[in-house]
Amino acid sequence: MLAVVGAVYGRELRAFHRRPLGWLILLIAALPPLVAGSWLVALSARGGLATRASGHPVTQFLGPNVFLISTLLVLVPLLTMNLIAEERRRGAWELYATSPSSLGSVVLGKFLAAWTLLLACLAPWPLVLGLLRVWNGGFQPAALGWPLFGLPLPAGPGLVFDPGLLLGGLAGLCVVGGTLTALGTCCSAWCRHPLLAGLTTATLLGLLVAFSLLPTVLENWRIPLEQFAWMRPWAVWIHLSEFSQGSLSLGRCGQHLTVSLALLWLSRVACQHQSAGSS
Amino acid sequence: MSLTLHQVTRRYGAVTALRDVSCEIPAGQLVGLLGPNGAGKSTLLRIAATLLPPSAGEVWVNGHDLRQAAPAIRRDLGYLPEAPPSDPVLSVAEYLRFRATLKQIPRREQAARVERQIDQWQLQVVRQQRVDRLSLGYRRRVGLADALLGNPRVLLLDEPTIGLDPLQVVETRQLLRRLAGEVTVLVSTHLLAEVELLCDRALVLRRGELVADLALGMTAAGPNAFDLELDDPPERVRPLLEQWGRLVILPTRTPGRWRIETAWSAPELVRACVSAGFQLCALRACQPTLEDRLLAIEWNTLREAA
Repeated sequence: MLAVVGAVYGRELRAFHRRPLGWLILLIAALPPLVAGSWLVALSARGGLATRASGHPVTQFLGPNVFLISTLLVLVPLLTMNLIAEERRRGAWELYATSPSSLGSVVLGKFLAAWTLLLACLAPWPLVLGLLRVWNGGFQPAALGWPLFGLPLPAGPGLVFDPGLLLGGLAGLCVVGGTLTALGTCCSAWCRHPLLAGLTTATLLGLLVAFSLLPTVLENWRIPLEQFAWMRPWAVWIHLSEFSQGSLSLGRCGQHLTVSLALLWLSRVACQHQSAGSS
Repeated sequence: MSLTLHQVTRRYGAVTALRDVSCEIPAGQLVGLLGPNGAGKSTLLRIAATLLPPSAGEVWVNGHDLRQAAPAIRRDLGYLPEAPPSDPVLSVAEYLRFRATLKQIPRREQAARVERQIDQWQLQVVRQQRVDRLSLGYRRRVGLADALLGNPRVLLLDEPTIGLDPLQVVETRQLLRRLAGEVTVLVSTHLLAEVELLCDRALVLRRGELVADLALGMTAAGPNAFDLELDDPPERVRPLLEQWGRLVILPTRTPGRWRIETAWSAPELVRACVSAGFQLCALRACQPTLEDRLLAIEWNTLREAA
């Protein structure tokens, strides 16, 4: 089983890197963290961050901010829409379905590849934070004898934070990213056309955003937040905020793992169902 | 490995693609699957390939129920779908290696088996090229190489020679003939000549029903066929010939010439003609071609319908 998962995983990674579109996606994915990073530096310089409700800048940077949510809303459908729907459209799925390997291994290999690619696309986010932390006076290239073409190096944005926050945020991106990728994989398995799969995934992610933001909106209408406690386990974007505060709850991780496994199981069922039902 | 279908029916919604198809293919037999478009050939192959479950009926491979033992059966199965492979990422060598992993061929054997198939199907010149950029003929060869990669004991081929050049067609036929005896082969095709040259037996499907199961080649054991030349009006000849045996309609027939399949011997047929008062000019024994037999089936079906 592992050999099959590995082969499918390797093929998907190669598929991504051998297409110019793959490199374009990686390039575009690097832009939002740079923009968000400059926004963070600007806010930090104005001292605006400390007054915000969600606390530490890292929590805001790796939490549900508009840049990160938009990135995920675009990346997840793009990376998952072709996974299974495209194979079926080309008629290649028949060969998976008639090989002795289980469809579960194939689905798992494809999911792992998409998850890896999503994390590769999200890698600039923690990198930018790490860079900002190092830049904060800790790194003095001039002291090492580097002239830097005579440019003065600023002292840094003043971002001092506990690395635990960064690790928590990183874990949040992995866990929540995994669940969202599983959702995209499931959509790709149930839809017959990649475009339809991408649109379905984007719509569902949009609904998740709305669902996650609903308690905040209702709170602004002076409706007590306690009444919406039941929504919290399903408010995926709020989970990102929890993780980026450095809270690594095993229960939350288990919840995401369970949902991801359920979605992958549904994907496998869809693959079997679609193979058997196609004419 | 034998393949047995018992009253197999497959429905797609309101459309019945296969209806009560029953047949038994013994191990090592090479069987052609014939029929017009929409007859149910591909559906039958897909059911045998474990891709589709039958809506009703049972399929047995070497005594194992297909529904219960599908994963084990797939190890011994080689399947060439109608659409040739078109992988947009992998080169021919990478694709075959990938397929070898999916077929659970041990890692140490994969390279040797892939090389053997590349040699067998003369894919050396395109081994580094992406599969989807190859011509239809090469992609078909890649598909055939893939189907044979796992040393299957049951081979299911949907239109295997479409797109191949004439030399490759001959080589494919020779290879399939070599495999027959060791491997059970079911070939779906529109080419009657191919089935006649290649197969031990032909199954004829029409609108989802199995309308004929014909033995072919040296093993054919059918009725005697004769060409008769009679100098009598057709309206007088036809009713009597239809009583004596099965009348075969020839597509390019000359007036007064008839072909009949009958259980009688030549002397018996001559005696019958003389008794009926026919003016018999010539009588020749002939081996009916597959086309003759299919036309006869078609003619009889139309007559029954009328």
